[in-house]
Amino acid sequence: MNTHEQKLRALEERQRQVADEQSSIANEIEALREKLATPEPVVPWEPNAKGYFLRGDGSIHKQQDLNYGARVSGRVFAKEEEAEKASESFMFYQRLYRLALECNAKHTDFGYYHVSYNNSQLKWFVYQSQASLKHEVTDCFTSISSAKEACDVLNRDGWELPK
Amino acid sequence: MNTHEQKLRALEERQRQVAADQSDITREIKELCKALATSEQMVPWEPSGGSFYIEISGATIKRSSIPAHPIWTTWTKAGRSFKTEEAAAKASEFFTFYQRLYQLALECNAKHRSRTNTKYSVYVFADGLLKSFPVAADAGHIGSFFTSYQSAQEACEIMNRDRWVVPTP
Repeated sequence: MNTHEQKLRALEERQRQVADEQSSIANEIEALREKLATPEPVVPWEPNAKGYFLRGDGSIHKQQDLNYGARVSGRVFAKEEEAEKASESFMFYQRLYRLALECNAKHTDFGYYHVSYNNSQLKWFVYQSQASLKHEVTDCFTSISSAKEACDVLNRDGWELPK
Repeated sequence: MNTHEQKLRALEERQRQVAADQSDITREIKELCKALATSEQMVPWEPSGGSFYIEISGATIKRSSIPAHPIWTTWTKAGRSFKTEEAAAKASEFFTFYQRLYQLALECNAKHRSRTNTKYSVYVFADGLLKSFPVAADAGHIGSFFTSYQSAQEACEIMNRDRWVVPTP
């Protein structure tokens, strides 16, 4: 076999290898395209199952068999400290909501208002959302008079904003 | 009786009337002070009782199912008992939203730590989308659960993706 024949054989061998490689690349591309065409399913966010269960009265219980409803409604926490902090916040919000119900019943309207605590003046005050543009997730008051009456009660009774 | 004597009698009569008035005024002042002192014994606001309790899962329990249980006092104090079933159902939506938002904030805050003290809250826009905004430094905002912009932003993305509906008052 002369040099030319040897070179030809080598080239033919290389051609086969390249053809195999090409076929393998084509397969990979096809598989990848299929994967890309099917988007990964989006799993809606849910609170994780954790260890400390915050009851409706604000008390905390460690449970092995956690109440599914409590978990889904966001009342189960990984750490006891987290549950304690949340308890303060939830109790505050629950009582504020009840106060809002009473005040809204006296001063009927259909607006969006909430109350905030001014840390420098140490006083509760009314905040009005711009109803046509946006409102806040904590807007529980439907009129300015209602929110003002609630602020009077909060200031009179010395309510403290949970930290 | 001459004019001077008449004038003297009139003045004496007036003096008696004024003395009587003064005594009346003193008595009234005393009574008013007493009434004011009593009314100043201010009673702090407490949620009043109701017949419907929102259970932790968000379900409503009717008082008639467990009528005389002492836990009702605790539930009422905690603000989870309501006068009507409708009021309880509406409150349940609010509470569940607030509780889940708090949990989501815990998760997002753990991922995105911040060195500043700025807090972020979530606003609902007319198109139904939730967006985050910083809260004024001196304002103690009851819904400012987020400790960084990235955290609030991530939460908004999740809520918009999962189509969270914010309850209206």
